[in-house]
Amino acid sequence: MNPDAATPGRPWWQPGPLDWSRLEMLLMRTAFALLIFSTIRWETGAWTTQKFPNGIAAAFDLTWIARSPPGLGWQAFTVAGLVAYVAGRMPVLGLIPALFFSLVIGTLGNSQGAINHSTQMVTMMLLAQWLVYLIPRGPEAPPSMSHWLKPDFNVQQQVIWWSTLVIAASYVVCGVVKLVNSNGLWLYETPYLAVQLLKTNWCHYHDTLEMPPGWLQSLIQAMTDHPNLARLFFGMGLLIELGGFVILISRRWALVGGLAIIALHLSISQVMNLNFLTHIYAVLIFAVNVPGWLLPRRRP
Amino acid sequence: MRAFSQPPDLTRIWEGVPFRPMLLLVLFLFVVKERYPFSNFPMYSNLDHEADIIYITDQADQALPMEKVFRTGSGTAKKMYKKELNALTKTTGRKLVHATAEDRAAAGRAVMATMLQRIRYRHMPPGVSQLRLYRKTFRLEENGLAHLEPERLVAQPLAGLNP
Repeated sequence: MNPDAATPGRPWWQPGPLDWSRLEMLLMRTAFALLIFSTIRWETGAWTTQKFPNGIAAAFDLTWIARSPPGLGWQAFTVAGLVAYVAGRMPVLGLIPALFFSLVIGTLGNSQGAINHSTQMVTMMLLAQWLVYLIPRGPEAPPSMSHWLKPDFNVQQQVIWWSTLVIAASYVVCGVVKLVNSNGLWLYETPYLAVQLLKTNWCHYHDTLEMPPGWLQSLIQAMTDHPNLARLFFGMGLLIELGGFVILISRRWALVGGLAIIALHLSISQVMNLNFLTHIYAVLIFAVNVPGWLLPRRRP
Repeated sequence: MRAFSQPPDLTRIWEGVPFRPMLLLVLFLFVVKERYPFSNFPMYSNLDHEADIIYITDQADQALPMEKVFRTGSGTAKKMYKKELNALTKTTGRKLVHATAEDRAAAGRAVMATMLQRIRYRHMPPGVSQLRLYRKTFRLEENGLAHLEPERLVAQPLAGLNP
């Protein structure tokens, strides 16, 4: 297998699923199941109102889940469903509890007046996977019952493919929004990020009472003294976001793009105290895909 | 002439578009914006020369660890404050920048009301009898970064609330 190659039979700019093996995909599903379960914020007690409804909360009152938070029984039910999904058996049914709790709890949490962006991407990936399992694609129509009971190899590849696609789209749209909302001036305005650095680090202080690191003041000073340095540094971040689509091209590009995205998050975590661990893990699973590089692969 | 007489083959054009499904998804997320689980991830897309934070102290202006005590971080509290302030100014057709001190205090009271519901008393340091909610602004000025004087929005006695 040539890791530089795009999807066989397709140009690099119109890629499709890569040649993930069964074992690779099993490992990806296992890691994603763990990620999804740990991402759901089961302790919902604090959200007894939905003053600023977001998403489906605009149509439904979701506060019931704060009054009766899902206990161990529901969590075990979710785990059982995820185990079925990992095993590749009845994933349409298996993913329903995880999808339900991800959506309802995530929506309620984001209906408190403060949108937090830590779980949207993985919930979108979960939704995309469920839709791929639910809606048969391809030439063999009408689909047989086995499509839902035990999806074949091609469906599992589509599931992984759409997960990677959601990751790529999330980063590209993030970069596009920066350009649109700033009328194309985002890069020029990046020295203003010095104020944001100060803000996020003082936020962290008030969250934990841990003082901002000493080097932060020097960094902020350097950003205000040398605005072009700030433009260069944050410009690279914007480039990584806008170039997020490269993780779709081939294994090698997925590795390079994935590592660049992780480096972006780690540097943001260092200077702004904003942690996007779920994003890092999702990119690590589907783009960097360490097992895929370590496992022996058959030549096509 | 032939090129003008025949409509372009839109299907072929569409099939030639690079990264089609991803571009469609980008367009979808861009249009839908913030509707969970969908998002266009607009964090830090609007940069300004100033930024503010919201925090809570005790009666002696000693900061309280917000995540531990109120199960809500300072960043989240700030977003809630901005939403409340936005809702208040919108009712009278004003922009956020035209919010008065009374508007800011009202938004602060709404945030404090939520914080009171979320208190974990076992994490509250001993001797706290009053909670104060402050807003502090950082501004990039000609001669560097300025820390403006914090504005006290609410002072809330704690006595009687502790269960």
